[in-house]
Amino acid sequence: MVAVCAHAARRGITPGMALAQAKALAGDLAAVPWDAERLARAALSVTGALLEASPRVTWDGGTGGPGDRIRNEGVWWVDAAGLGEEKRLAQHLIRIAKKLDLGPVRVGIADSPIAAYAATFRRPTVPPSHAPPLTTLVPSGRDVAFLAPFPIALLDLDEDLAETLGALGLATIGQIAALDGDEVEARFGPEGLAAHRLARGIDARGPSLPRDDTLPAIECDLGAPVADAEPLLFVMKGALASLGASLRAKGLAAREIAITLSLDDGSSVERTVRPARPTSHEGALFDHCRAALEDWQLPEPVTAIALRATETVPGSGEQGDLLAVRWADPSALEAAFDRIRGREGTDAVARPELRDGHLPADGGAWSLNTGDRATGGQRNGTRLPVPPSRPPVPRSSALRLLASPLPVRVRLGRSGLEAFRKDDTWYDVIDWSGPERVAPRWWRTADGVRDYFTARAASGELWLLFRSKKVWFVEGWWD
Amino acid sequence: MAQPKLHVALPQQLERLIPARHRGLPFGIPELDALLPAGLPRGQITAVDAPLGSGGTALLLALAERTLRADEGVAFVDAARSLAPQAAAHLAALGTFWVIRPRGTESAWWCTDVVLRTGAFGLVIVDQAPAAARAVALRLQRLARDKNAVLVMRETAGRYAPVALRLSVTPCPSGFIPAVPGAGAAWPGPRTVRVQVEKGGAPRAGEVSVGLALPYRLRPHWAVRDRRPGASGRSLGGRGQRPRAGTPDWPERR
Repeated sequence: MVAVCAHAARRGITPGMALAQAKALAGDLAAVPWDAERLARAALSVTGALLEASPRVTWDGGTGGPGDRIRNEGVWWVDAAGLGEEKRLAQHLIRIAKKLDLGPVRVGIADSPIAAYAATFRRPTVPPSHAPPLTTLVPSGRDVAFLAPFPIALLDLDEDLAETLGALGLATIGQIAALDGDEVEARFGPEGLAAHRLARGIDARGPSLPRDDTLPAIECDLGAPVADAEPLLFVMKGALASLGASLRAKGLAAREIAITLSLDDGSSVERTVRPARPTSHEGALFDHCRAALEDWQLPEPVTAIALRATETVPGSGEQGDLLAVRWADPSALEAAFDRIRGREGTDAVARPELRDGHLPADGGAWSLNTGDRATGGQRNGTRLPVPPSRPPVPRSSALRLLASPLPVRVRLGRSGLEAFRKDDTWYDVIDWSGPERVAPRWWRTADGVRDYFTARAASGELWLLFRSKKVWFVEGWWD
Repeated sequence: MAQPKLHVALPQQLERLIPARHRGLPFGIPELDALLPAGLPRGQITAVDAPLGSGGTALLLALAERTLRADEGVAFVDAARSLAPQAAAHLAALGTFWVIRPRGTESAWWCTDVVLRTGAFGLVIVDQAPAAARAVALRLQRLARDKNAVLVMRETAGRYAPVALRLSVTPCPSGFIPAVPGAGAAWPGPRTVRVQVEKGGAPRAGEVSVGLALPYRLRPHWAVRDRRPGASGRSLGGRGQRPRAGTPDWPERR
């Protein structure tokens, strides 16, 4: 038995009792299976009703199953700060509880949550004329003194620690509060220090704004075992669309997605996917998940698929600039780039940078570090200083480089370079310049020096060639 | 009774009344802007037929620079992954300039689709991708129309693509200029590129001068001895250098 009603309690049934034992005491016992979701739904409705009295209400009940800690399932923390007279708040809360037919409720008001919780166990100390019934008000600044006579069981200590404290003769909270904090920590560790803090009325618990911390998850049963990737991708695409919508509804972006596949033999396998940037865009998520699925060797056909966001960050949003000619949502741009990176590789989106290198290939580099410069420094209305316009003439031809220098055959004559052969095609050279010797990485003798040549082909192209160790290479061309 | 005066607005004056975001994109090159007074049309595909080494990249980067200075984003889809970063490094400081470098040329159209959909770019350049099928080109053209962007396809538009403007770029022959008149090494001189409008109005053509920047290395002189480690101590030679018997700078012909 996890929880019992008042009527059952009167017949001697207590929480922790076995079902058979309880039925022995009450033959007409109606046992309901533990339903954490139903409990959470009921608690949510109570929380919503209590919000009428205070803007900060938190349910302290465990949402897990019977094995979880459920000591505070009937406790709601209500922020009383700044709401005026505390007695009126207590009356308001009791009125709401009566309206919801919650049965007898107790209200404790104190500076710290632990003292307020303890106050609900005490008989009302305030005369009924001054406070509503079932309400205990702890005067401000009197929490430690109020807690002192309570047993240490109120602190919900670990069994070993409780036994140790009991063996030392420490039975009340006041005795623990009287100890030196450093000594308690040195002897009993962090748990002892936490108990000592609670005994002194230092409690981090309390009401907070109601929020739903559950991360979105989508589960799909495929009906029949699936051995091909195509139907799985089809289902996954729809599931990711739902997942993305759930994330956006919560204002979140997924940093990590877990794909769980249930196999035909009853087992399940899981793989996580981390986009380069947190996103809720289903297209980007789908590209990553598909890439993960492509190289996933599965021993059995798949019967069900589950997708859940295991790690999220707040989604970014930025107000548009009405005066900007073309304003783009940085998160949308990043999502688009993330899709491209997910499919074409992390180096598929880049910005060019100048580098200080002797060789043509070292004169620049592709910067992959986007940081928050997705819009080229135009975020938050700040713009990079634009250098003044260069004179339009002369313009420079742009250098195009091959992925790596390509060895070529050359034909030399009395006038020097006459032709070179690239990709089985002979290019007749009508004019050339060079050599221009560059010693790249001269501290490495293995690289050797390069003699660069610029050659104009008969077809009009301007090629960049070099000779190194008597071997000729084509490195690029000007366009 | 005084008659009201009639003012005749010239086309150039009327053009000022059109918001900048609805005007075409100019090249920023006076010769080309005179050739295309309305600029490259927005929401349409512009095909640039510029063969390898014809100076097409220089023209497209000039167009990108002019667009960035007008506070619009530019995406350059480099399908062949051959653009040297130093050639476009000056554009990165001007604004939203991104280079998309897909793994294979066949992915260039998908990347273009994704980039166009963002709506963040006023100019999208697709360079050296395989020819687009008509259906693909139509879809991209509609995307460009929706986003009010200019889509430039270089050598990739395909014969049946819905192209509003087609430019043909051909290089004109040019020579080399000696570093020291009469002797010494030489370097390529500025060359002229001929741009012809083949579609999008009456056929017309213009010429643009394009130079060559070689800032990354010092130009040697024939009289300067090479004293660097590993060098032979001889002069580096070059075109126009005085012939030296017995000291061939070239490997023997096989």
